[in-house]
Amino acid sequence: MPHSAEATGPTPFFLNVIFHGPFIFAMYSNRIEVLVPDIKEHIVGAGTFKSERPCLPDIYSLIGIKTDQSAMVNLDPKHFVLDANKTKFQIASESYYRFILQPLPYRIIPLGLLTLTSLLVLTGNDARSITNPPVFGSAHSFTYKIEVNKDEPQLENMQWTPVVRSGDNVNSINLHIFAESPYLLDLLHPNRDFTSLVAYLAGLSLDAQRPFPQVTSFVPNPDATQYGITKEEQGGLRFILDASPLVPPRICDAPSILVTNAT
Amino acid sequence: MDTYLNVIFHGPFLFVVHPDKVEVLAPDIEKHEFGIGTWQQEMPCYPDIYTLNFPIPLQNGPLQIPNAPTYVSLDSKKFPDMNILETAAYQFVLPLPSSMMGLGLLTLSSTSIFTGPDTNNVETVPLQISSAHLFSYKIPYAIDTNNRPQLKGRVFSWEPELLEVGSNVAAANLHIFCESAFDLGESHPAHVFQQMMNEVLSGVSLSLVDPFPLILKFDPNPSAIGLGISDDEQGGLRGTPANITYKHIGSEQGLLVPPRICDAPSLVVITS
Repeated sequence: MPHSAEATGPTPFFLNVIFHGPFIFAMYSNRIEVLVPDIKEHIVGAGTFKSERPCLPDIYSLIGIKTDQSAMVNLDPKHFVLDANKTKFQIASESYYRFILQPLPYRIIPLGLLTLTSLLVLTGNDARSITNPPVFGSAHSFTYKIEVNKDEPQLENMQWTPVVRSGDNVNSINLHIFAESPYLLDLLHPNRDFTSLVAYLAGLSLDAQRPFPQVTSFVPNPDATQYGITKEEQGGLRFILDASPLVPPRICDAPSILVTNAT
Repeated sequence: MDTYLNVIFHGPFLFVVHPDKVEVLAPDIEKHEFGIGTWQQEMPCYPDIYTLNFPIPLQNGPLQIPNAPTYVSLDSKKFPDMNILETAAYQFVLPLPSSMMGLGLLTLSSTSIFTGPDTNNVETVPLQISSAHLFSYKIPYAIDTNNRPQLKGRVFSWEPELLEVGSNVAAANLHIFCESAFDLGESHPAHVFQQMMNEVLSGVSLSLVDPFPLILKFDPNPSAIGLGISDDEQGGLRGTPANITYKHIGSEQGLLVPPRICDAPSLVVITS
């Protein structure tokens, strides 16, 4: 079902916190914690698109959001979702990088949609506990409704000046967080990424297909435009939009996992 | 059909043009990502000596330096104490190319980019400086599996994939990146340049102004198309600058995009 940004009244204004690369998104009742492992080939940076600054391993918190987000919109099916109420595992209390998003966003939008040669991506005893969509996001936007003179978004621990972009009937501030490689890596790279991710979910028996299936198409999510996210912003570090066999996001296309009902 | 192998360096390097070869040197710069390969399929690479070999040697004569080059050049005769350090982390050894050209041309807010006692000895400081540098080899024979050129390091090798570009040109483009994917701050170009002078070229007293002048414009070099190089390939790791202006609160400025994030100029040293 298509998204529907507010169509009447003042120009809608959104903050989009956009994660590129493989992450664990642990959704607690009042916040989302984003866990990032230490992956040698990946570089981590955050900021306005193409002006991002490198990030050192640390905890980074989104602050300054005062507008009520109401109840979060139901999750888009184009995510890998693991319900913590239905499967036994432990979310690591520490991670190499951690981004804390509070409050919960208005919605989570999958971006840079990938289709693979194989529908089956995950293996292991717990693979059946995770939704395995045929098309899934290579990037994820945590989108907040914001208002001028009310919200002052900042990423604590990071020097970032929010930049307002005015588009067609929408204003937006987009904060990009990359954890990717700018270069082509070996075919088992996505598997190593995924293993590093799953290590943060102790007790899960989960792996990715080896080698990871090839990407057959990469399509920007058209629904993101109404929230002020351009097509280019849905790509990876090298923002390549055409599907081709071994280019970003192929170079680090291990899927991210959304963990719901985290406690 | 004309066939070219184009070797394109992105980022700050020291290019030493000898009578019989070109040496390309770079220090190992923190936060710069080194990668080598065909466009958008580059692989990460590590400090080493990389040599470009042609199984059938090319008979290129002395390199012709253009009348209005788009790169900063030094004549070694004017620097009696100049010493090119053979300990550079990254070293590329190339045969003499058939042509050399600046790519990804930057127009700066000021052409006064150097300070230091040797500023006046710099041979050329162009109005537009190159953010990437091309060494192009016209190959006078048909390339097959037995005579493919190869770039080789200790654990790395690359062989060209020829692509037909238009009806008259076939080209294989080898990209070598030494750039950051992220913004490293206004003083980054000056720091990188200083590191290059310290670790690669001694005996030349030259520094960059800090902060480095603003980049007003990025233009692809139109001459590169005839050699089989697209405009996109003249950009940096993050591509060519987008034609967008963002509004900062209280001010307006263009994007700080590559090559701005690592736009310390390269130096071309001509030895006799």
